[in-house]
Amino acid sequence: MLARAAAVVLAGLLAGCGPDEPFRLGFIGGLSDRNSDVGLSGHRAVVLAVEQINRDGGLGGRRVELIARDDAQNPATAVAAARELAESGVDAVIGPFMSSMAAVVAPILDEAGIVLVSPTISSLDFFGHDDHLIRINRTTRDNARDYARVLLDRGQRRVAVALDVRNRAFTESWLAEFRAALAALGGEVVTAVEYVSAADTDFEAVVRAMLEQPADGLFFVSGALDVARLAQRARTLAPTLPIGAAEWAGTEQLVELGGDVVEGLLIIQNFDRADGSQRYLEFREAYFNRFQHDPGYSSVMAHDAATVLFEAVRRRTADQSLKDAVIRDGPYQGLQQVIEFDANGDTQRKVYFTQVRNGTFELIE
Amino acid sequence: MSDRRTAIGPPATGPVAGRSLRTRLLWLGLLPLLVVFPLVLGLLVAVGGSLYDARVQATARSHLATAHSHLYQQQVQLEKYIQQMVQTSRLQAVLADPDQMGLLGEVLAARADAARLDFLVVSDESGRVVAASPSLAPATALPMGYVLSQAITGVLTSGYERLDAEAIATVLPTLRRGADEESATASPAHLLTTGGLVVSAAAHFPYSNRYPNAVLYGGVLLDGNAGVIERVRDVVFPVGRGTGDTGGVAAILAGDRQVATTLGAADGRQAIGTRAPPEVVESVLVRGERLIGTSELLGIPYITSYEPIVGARGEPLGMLLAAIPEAPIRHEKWLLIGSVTALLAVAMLALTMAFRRGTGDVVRRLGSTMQSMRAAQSGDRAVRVPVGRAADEIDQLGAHFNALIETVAHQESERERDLREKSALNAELEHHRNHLEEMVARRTAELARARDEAESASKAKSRFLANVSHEIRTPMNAISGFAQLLRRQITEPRQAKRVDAIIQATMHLLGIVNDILDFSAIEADRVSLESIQFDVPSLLDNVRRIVEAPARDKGLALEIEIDPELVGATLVGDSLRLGQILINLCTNAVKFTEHGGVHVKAASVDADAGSVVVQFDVADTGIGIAADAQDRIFEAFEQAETSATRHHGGTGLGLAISRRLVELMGGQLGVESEPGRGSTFWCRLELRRGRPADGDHVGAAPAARGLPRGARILLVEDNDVSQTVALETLESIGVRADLARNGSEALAMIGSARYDLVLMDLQMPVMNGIEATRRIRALDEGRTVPIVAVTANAFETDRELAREAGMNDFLAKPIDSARLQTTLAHWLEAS
Repeated sequence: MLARAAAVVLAGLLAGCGPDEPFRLGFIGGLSDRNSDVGLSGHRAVVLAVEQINRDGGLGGRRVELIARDDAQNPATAVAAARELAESGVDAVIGPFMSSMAAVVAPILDEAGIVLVSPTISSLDFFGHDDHLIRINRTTRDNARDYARVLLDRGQRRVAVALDVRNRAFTESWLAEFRAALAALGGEVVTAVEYVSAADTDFEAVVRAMLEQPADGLFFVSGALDVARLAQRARTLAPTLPIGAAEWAGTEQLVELGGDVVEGLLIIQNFDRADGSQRYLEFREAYFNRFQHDPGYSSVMAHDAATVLFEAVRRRTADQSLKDAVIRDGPYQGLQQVIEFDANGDTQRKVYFTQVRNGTFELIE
Repeated sequence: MSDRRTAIGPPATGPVAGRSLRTRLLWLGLLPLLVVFPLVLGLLVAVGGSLYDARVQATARSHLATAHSHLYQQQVQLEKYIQQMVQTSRLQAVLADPDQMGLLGEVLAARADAARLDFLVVSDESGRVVAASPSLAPATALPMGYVLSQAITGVLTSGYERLDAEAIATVLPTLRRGADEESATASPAHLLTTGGLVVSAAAHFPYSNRYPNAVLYGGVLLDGNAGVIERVRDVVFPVGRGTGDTGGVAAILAGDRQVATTLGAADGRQAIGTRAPPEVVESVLVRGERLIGTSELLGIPYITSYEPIVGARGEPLGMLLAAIPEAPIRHEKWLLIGSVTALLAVAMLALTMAFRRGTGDVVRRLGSTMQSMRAAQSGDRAVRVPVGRAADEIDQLGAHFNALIETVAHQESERERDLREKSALNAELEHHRNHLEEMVARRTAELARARDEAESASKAKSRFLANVSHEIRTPMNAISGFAQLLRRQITEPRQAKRVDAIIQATMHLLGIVNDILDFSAIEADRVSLESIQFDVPSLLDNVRRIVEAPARDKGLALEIEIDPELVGATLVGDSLRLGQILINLCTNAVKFTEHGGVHVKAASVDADAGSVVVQFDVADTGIGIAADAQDRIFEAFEQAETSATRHHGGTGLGLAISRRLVELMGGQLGVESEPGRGSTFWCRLELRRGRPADGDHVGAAPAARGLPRGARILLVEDNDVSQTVALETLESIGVRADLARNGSEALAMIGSARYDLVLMDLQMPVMNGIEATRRIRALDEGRTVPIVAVTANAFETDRELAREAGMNDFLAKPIDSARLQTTLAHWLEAS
C-alpha cells in the first residue's frame, strides 16, 4: 500500500511538468542571395521578439517556437518553403519581405487558412483584398505619391527610373503609381528601365539606358545592394544628377555598401532612426546586444508584425479566428507608432524623408 | 480454618498472553527497520537519484551553452573585425592605388596577425584573389562558400565553413600554427587530406569609384586550434579555488572527429581524432539535436553534452562538446545516497532499539502483573502486583488489582468475623434456650411485680383523685346547695344579689376545682365522654347565660350567630363538656378584650345524613395573641404572658383542658390571632345526628313533669351537710325522703319498709355505697327498687362499679335540682 502511494505521488509530481503545445510561428523571407539584407534583419527582429516573449513566460503559458524558411528571392524556393510551413502546421507566418515572394506565398497560406503578416510588402496588388494576408506597411501608392511630391519640390520634374523586375510585383506597382502621381503634379517619368537583379547584371548598361532621355534626376526602384551598384555607375556617368531610391532600399546596407557613392541619395525611411522613446531605445539596445548590429526598417516592422500577432493571440476570444482577432482586436502598440487595420488587413504607416549624409540617413523634412 | 481460600472465577485457560503480545511488539518494533527503511531508501534512490541526475544534466547543458556562447562571440567578433576593416580608409586607399597593390599583402598580413586570423583575403566580385595573407597568387579562385558569396552580393556574413582538402590547399597552403608541427593529426598534410573546419567572415567593400569592387574575406581554422579550444575550456570550466582543473573537457568536432580538444592523450597532447559514438552522430549530426548523456572519451566515462555546429545554411558541419568526468559525479551521488542511507539506518536502528526496550519493559511488567493475578486467582490473598513509580496505565492496572485483592481479602476476613460472631451468638442462643424457662419465669415474676406496682400506683392515683374529688366537692356541694336554697327563699334584691355573688363565686371555685380535677382525670386517662342528645341553640343559650353578665360588666357586646342548618338539628355528643369548652373560650375572650365585643358563631361546615361537622368560632376584638404564643397557650399552666395571668387571673388550665377534650371528641381546637387586632378561637368537630325525643335533653327546658305523690325515697348519706342539702333539695321539689346514715342502716330500712327509690351516696365509711347496693340487691325487697348513685366522683370506673353492683343511674354532686327532678321522675314513673 505504501508502494502504491509512493507511485501515485511520483506520478503526480511528474505529470505537472509536461509542457503545453507550443505556439508555432513560421517565418519566410530572403535569408540569402540578393537583397537578403531586408530578410535577414527582419529575421533577427523576429528571433529577438520570440526570445523575449518566451523569457516572459510565453504566449499564455505556451512557448513560441520559430520555424524560419528562406525564400532566397526565388519563387520556386518560396513556394516550397511556404508549403513546408503550411504542412508543419504553423499557427501563423511572418513574412515575406518582398512583394514578388508574397505573390507566390500568399495564395498557398491563404488556402491553408494560415494568417500571414508581412512586415514590408506594399504592392497595390495586395491592397484591399479580404484574405489571410495582413500588411504592416503602407502601399506603393502612398509612398509613390509622397515621393512624387518631394521630388517635384526639389525641382525634379523629369525623372528617369530603373526598376528591378525580379521583384516585379512591387516595382511595377510602384512605377505605375509614381508615374501617375508625378503626372498628376505636372511631372513626367521620362524613362523606365527594367532589369533583373542578378550577380551578373550589367548595371552600367542600366544607367546608360536611364540617361538616354534628358532627366532632372535618377530614381532607382531596387534593393539596397542594387542601388549601391547603380549609384556607383550613376556617379561615374552622371555625377551631377541627383539620385533617389524607393523605400525598399532603405537598409543599413545601403550606406555600408554604398559608401560615398550614395552620398546625397534621397530615400524614405519607414521608421525614425533618431527616435528617443524608451520603447524604441530598449528595442534597439536589446537588438544590438543580441546581434551586434543596429536594427533596420525591416527589423522594426518585423518586430511590429510579431507584436501584432502575439497581442492578437492574447486578445482573441474563443469564437474568433486569428485573422479576425488581428484585424478586429487592434489597435496595437508598435515600436514607434500605433497600428490599426482596416477590414482587409491593410494599414497606414508614418514615413520620414531622408538624405544620405556621411553614411547616415539625415532627415530632410 | 485453613488458609487456602477459594479461587475466584474459573481457572485461567488459553494462550499465555504475554508471549503473543511480545511477538507482536517485536514485529512492530522491527517495522521501521524492515519495512519503512527499505521503502524510504527505495524512494530516496529513485527520486533522489533522478533529481540528482537532472541537476547534473542541467549543469551539463549550461556548460554547453557557455561554450556555444563563447564561440558565437568569437564569430561575431570576427565579423565585426572584417566589417571594420572594409570601412577603414587605409585599406580602401591601398585598394584605390594600383601602385600599392603589393603593399596590400603586407597590410593584410598585419591585420591578420593583429586579429589572429589564419587567413585574410581581398577578392574581386568573382571570387578571385586580389591580395592575401598568407599570400596567394593573385587571381587564385577562392572556394565559393556561403560566406564569401553572400559578401559578394553585398551582405556582411559570418559563419562556420567546411573547407575540403582542395579548398584548404587553395587557401591555406601554409598553415599558421602555434606549436606541434609534428602532430600527426594537425599537420598540414593531414588537413590536406581531411579538409578543415573554419569560422569565417566576409564583407563587401563599400561601392566606390575610387577602387574596384572588392570583398574582404577572413577566418580562423579550428582544426588543431589549441588556443581557441583552451579558451573555451577556461570559460566553461573555470579553475576553482584549488589548483588543477576539474577535468572538464571542451572539444570541437568536424563531423564525428575531434579536431580541436582539451582532452589529453597519454603523452599530454590533444587527443585529436577521437571519434564520437555512433548514437551521438545519429542524434547530433544527423538530426541536429542537442544530446546530453554519458559516453566514453578515451575509455573514461564522461557526462557529455554535444550540440551541432552548423554552417550558414544550417547544414551540420560538426559538433561542439563539453564534458565532465562521470566518476566524481557518480561518486558524489553515491556518497550522498550512502550517507543518507547510513543515517537513516542508524536512526531506524535506534528507533527500533528504543522501541524494543520500551516495549520489553511493558511486556515484562504485564507479565509480572499477570503472574500475581494468577496467584491471586488460585487463592493466594497475600500476593500483590508490584507497582512501579511511573504511574502509567500498567501501574494503575496493578494498583487497581491490588485494591481489588485487598477488597476481596477484607471481605473474606469480614465474613469470617461474621461467622465467628454468629457461632458465638448461636452458642449464646443455645445457652439461652436451655435456660429459657428459667428466664421466662424470672421475667414473668419481674413483670408481675412491675405490673402490680403500676397497678397499685394507678390505684393509688385513682384513690387519691377520688378522695380529693370527694373531699373538695362535698363542702362545695354544701356551699352551692345551701346557696341555691337560700336564693330561692330570698326575695329582697340586695340580699338576692349577695347570694348570687356567693353562688357565682361558688360556681367559679367549683369551676376551678373541676378544671383541676378534669385535668388530672384527663392526664390519668380517666375521662369518658358522654353521648347526650342536644341542640346547638340550647347549648349556646346556656353559654350566653353564663357569659353575658361578665361581658356586660366590661361594656362588651356579645353576639351569638347560629347557622340556620344547625337550628333544628339534633346532635349527639358530650354537650356538657362542649358547653364547658365554649364557656372557657368565651370567658377568655371577655377576659382579654377591653373594647368591642365577642362574636360567637356556630356553623355547619359539612353535613350528611348521619353526621355534621360543626365549627364554633369565638371571635373577640381583644389584645390578640402573638404568633409565637399561639401554640403555647394550649399547654398546661400557660397563659400568653405571665403578666396576663396576674392581670386576668385563672389557673391557665382552661385552654389545655379544652383542647384535650376537643381532641378526645375527635375534633380540633385552634386560634387565629394578630396582636392588637383580636383573636378568633375555632373549634371543629364531627357530631353524630341524634333522634329527637330520645334520651335525655340537657339544656332543654326541664319538662315540667310532676312527680308521683306519696313516693317514698330513701336517702343514704353519711355526711351531715350533704344530708341537709339533699333533704332540702328534695323538699324543694316536693319530695319527702327517709334518711339512712350508712349502708347498714339502709339495709335495715329497706328490709323493713317499701321504698320507691333509693338515693345512695357512694363514699361512706363502714359500708360504702357499692357494697350496700350489692347487699340490698341480695334482699328480696331490694331486688327491683331503683337505686340512684349520688357521688362526688364522676369517673367512669365508679360508674361501672355502680352499674355492676346493680345501681340504675347516677347523679353527680353537687346535686342539680333540675337534674334530680328529672332523674326521680324517670325512675319513679318507670316503677
